[in-house]
Amino acid sequence: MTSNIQRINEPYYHSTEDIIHKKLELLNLKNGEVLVDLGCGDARNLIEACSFAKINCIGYEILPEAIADAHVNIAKSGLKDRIEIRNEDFFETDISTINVLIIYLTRYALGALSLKLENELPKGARIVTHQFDIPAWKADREIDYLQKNGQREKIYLYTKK
Amino acid sequence: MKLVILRTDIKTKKKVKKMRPVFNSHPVISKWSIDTEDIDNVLRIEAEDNLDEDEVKKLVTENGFYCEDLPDII
Repeated sequence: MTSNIQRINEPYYHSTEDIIHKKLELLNLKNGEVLVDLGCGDARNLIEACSFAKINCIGYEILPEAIADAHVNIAKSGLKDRIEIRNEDFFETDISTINVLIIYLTRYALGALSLKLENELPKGARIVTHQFDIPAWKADREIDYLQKNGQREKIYLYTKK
Repeated sequence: MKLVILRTDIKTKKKVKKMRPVFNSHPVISKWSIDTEDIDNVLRIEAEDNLDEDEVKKLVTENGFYCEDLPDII
């Protein structure tokens, strides 16, 4: 049987600092919230997020090189007590206490995830994606963001109803 | 519960109407929608676990439409 996480085995891409900052700004993070980055790569989103509010972060990642980079970066940032990296199947995880979710996945992967998000995320949870939206969902906000490098990128913000 | 999401060429309400009896009468499909304004005109189906995705694709193509998996490339 193919595990769910293999279905979302996305490559390891770095988002630009611009995009990360804008996504976090849109989330309007509040002290005490739990933020999850699905496919957290080298943890740069999580480290940056900790500068927005006193939050606790969990990053899910399956690529060994990304996990190694994440641990190095978290150690350098001095945020070990606020950021946890998990190498496990997100589909099997309890997401009922997550307040905020950052995702950068393809529409295919977002579609595969969407039912779990609908059924298990608490009401009011915010989700931010970029480049790809969640198929069959309506975003609360859709921003055509002009980056410093001149490239435009779509950012989508959702709130669990 | 199983979720199937496919890209289609079902771009109008009239075309959606053609698929309505097909999905409404399906024994294991509990909920479905086609977003005619979406870039991929996504067909979204919630069904019991035993729904065969290939069967869904066959139902769509038998009714004269195209469908495929959403692209999985960044």
